[in-house]
Amino acid sequence: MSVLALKLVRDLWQARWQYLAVGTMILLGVAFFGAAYMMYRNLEASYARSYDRLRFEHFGIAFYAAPEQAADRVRRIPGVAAVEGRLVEDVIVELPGRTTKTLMGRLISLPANRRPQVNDVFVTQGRYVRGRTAREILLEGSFAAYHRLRPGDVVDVVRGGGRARLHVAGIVQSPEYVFVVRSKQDLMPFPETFGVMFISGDVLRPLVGKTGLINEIRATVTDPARLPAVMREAQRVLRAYRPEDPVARRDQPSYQLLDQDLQGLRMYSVLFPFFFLSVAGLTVYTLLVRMVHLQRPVIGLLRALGFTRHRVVAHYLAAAGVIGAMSSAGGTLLGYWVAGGATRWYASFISVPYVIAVPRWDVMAAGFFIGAGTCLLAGVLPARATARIRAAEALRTPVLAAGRVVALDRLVPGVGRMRLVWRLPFRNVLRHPRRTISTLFGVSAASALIMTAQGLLDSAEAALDTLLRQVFHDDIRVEFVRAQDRTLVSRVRSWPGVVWAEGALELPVEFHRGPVTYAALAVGLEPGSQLQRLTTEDGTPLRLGDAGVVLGQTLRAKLGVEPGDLVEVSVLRRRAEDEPRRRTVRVAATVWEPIGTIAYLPADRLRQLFRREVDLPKGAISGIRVKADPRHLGEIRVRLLQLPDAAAVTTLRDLQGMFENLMGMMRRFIALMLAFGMALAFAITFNMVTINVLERSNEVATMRTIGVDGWVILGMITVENLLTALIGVALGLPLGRLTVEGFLRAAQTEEQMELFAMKVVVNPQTYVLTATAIVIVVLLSQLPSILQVNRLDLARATKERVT
Amino acid sequence: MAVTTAPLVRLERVSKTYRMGEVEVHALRDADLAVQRGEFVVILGPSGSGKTTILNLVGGIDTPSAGRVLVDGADIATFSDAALTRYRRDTVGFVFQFFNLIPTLTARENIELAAELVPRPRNLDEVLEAVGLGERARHYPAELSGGEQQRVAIARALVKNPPVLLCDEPTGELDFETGRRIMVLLRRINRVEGRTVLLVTHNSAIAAVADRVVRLRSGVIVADQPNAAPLDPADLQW
Repeated sequence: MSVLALKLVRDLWQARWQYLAVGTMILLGVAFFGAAYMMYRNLEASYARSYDRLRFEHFGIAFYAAPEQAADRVRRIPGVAAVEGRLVEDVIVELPGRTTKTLMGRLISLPANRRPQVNDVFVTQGRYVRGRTAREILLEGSFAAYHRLRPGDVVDVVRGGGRARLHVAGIVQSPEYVFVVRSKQDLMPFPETFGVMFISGDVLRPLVGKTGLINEIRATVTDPARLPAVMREAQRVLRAYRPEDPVARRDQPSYQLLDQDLQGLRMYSVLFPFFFLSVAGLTVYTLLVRMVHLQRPVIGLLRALGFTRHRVVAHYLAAAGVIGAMSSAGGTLLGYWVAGGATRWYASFISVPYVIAVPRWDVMAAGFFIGAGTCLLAGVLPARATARIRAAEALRTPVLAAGRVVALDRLVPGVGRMRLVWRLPFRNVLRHPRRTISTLFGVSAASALIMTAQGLLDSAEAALDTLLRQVFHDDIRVEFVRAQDRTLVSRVRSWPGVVWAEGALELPVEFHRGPVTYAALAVGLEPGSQLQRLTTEDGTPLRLGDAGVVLGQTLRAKLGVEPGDLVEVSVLRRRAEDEPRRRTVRVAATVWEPIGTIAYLPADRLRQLFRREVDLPKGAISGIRVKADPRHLGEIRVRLLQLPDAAAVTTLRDLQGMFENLMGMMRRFIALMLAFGMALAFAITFNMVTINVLERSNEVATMRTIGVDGWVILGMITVENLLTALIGVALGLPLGRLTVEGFLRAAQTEEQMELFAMKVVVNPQTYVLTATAIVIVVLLSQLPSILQVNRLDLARATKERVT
Repeated sequence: MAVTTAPLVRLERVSKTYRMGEVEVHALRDADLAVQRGEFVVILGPSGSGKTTILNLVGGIDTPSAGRVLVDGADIATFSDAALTRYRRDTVGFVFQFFNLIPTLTARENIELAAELVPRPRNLDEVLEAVGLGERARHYPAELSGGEQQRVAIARALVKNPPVLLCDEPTGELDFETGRRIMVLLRRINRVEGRTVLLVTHNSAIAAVADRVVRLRSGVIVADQPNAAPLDPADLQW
């Protein structure tokens, strides 16, 4: 090792804690990028392989009913690779031996004696169904896991008056139900009350009285580029069965949710490391500026000895390179290690059939070079500054560093009258403007990171609060498999513990306006409903009337309508023999709700609109909502399940639990982001505070020598650091707010808005929490420097040259 | 010059040993020294002779390994950290070789910082005038010459009204002319205000202005001689 290299090692060792702190920031940034981006790539590959191996549909078309041979028409379309015609029926499911377990099940037919050519399943436990007539089913994994069902268990399926006992042959994962959601209008995975089951078509059809019929086509194409044309053709050849609009893979709910998830991960994997590496770069810059400044005589000596300018520049640039390379290498390894585990954990969490967790050398290389490159870039200016140092000048007495400074204490009201020892921290805040800017940037970035994490949580919680506490005012609700008469509501109202009950009618519909057609859920409510509060986007309570339909904000945006406009609406799943009639309704108002794809009408008006197509008798309801005395909730739940054709019974607490479950994952992610934000704040303030104190050891020693109390000096350092931190926080809080908005805007794509819309909400507590977290971190990060001040050798420090 | 019998500063068999890795360095060995009130004492010696160690011990920023450091009868070697801080605040004023001014404070503010430490400081303007800096009070240290910076340092020491001024190579960083002016100033402060001055230097020419000269070599006081005819600092040459 050359002596110059040895000097470099020793220089770095001398300031090892500061370089360790900045190295940790780079390491975390590179590791976060590597882990998150590799996880993104692994998940993307896992989904792609699962879709490929299980032959996931390129499109699907639903209709009321058609003979099984209808699938052949689609099969004959040029460009179609494979087609499955299948029957899908929602039924009541009972779990024998569990009295309160009456659930909604979706039975999907499987072809006889072969595996499906489209949307195959992946068996994780047990086996595939045997024979064409065995009364066996395959259960989707999350439903089976929630209810602890295993191969060999039985479930009862209730349809009309009939009941059939089915044996669980296996537990499966399905490419179309990675996220198990009922439909685009009901996107919450809720395994407690909804499960997907696969069954031989030859068993299902007689069970539901639809022998020889199918109601769905699922198909793959040979050339995805021709998909739109193939879909149009498929809809045309099936027109005799009044098909709904074809749904392409990218609009399939589970696919869409996964894709949203994936895009979010990709965004985070780039944005967070950007924060870290920017701050780390500025810190490296500050450390090297200081190193070059302190080593002016050394640089002068090196030049006097005959070292070339290039050699000296390279020597100081190497310091940045060594830090960058070492920490980036560590970050790359850490990222690699985390990525594999995180991919497998997440894939198992969301039940992905085929998991690919492999090293992504290109991502690792990119992470390494970005990390190392950031450091090198940060080192360029200080290193180049050495080239301008003239040997003769550098070897002479150094020039006093700080000249005229901004006397902040004179600008802040009241401070000018304080004792000088307390005014000094105000003066010192702006002593090294570039360093102060670096510190402020770091503290602001850390504040923004903490606030972004918490702000996203606030926004999600606010959306849930809107949904669960402001929109829904019932405690428990029941859904019927077939429409029931409204007189049931009066019966329910008479039960002990029932405070209030209301019937509701829910119908899947399609809205049309110009070329736009959009599927939505129409909810018919009792006029003046007490259990579902509608408010306009500015928060004004709204009462349903005959004026027309009330649209959720997403629906309004999709259709491009405003109150007063006319829209056409038709019902989905109509009887095949009916003409697809569209009714024109006026948009009465719009509401803002997290699930913004719902349209509200008075129940009677909704019934009246579609009474012919869906055979709805007068007073028909599809569910009952109940406000109940909490003490009677259990009893009411059992009684609701005993109502005719009662399927899923859901309590508000169930919903809260489910959301809590979903939020749990988000909270873990937020906690990680908070930890990263705190680490960032610690690293930046630790470095800046340490540099400040180190540089001022002569000053501090002088003050102590002339008789300033030690605690006063500590107080001065603390005040200075707190002032810097508070300015950083003051800049960071609005930046954080903007970042939350930016994140939400980026995450809330049009597709995401269809699933779950959030408004930007940052609670006041979040501002306080962020400021407090930063203050705590700053106080902690100055502890090493304070210990150093206490140990200062006054005799020695006062003899040092002030530079 | 009035010399009283009770010395203001007394060192009794004071030794100071530093450990530098494996090596023990004897900075001062069995030093005995008495400084009377109002005396101007120059401690002279080459680099590493222990002169600054004496100043640091008297100034309460270092503690002896053995012996007693008595100032006004009290052994400051036994003082707690807080008591030492009070002692430095009330009893001594330091003037350093490298001035040690706070660069973010103006000349006046540097002096004011010290003034805030004591209940009855001297009038700031008066002190500034005394050191000849009235015009430059609002300038920052980086805007002052070396001599002016040292004047600020002297004013900072004086403003607390300490009975003892401890000056460590106060002319070490200054050119001859500026150094001579500083010596004139220090001598005037000693004569006019009656303050005791302990001045450490390796410049033997400066010894000529002292009331007494203490010579050190390798941590040992080798000579302690009164100067019957101190030179007017204005006539100093080196």
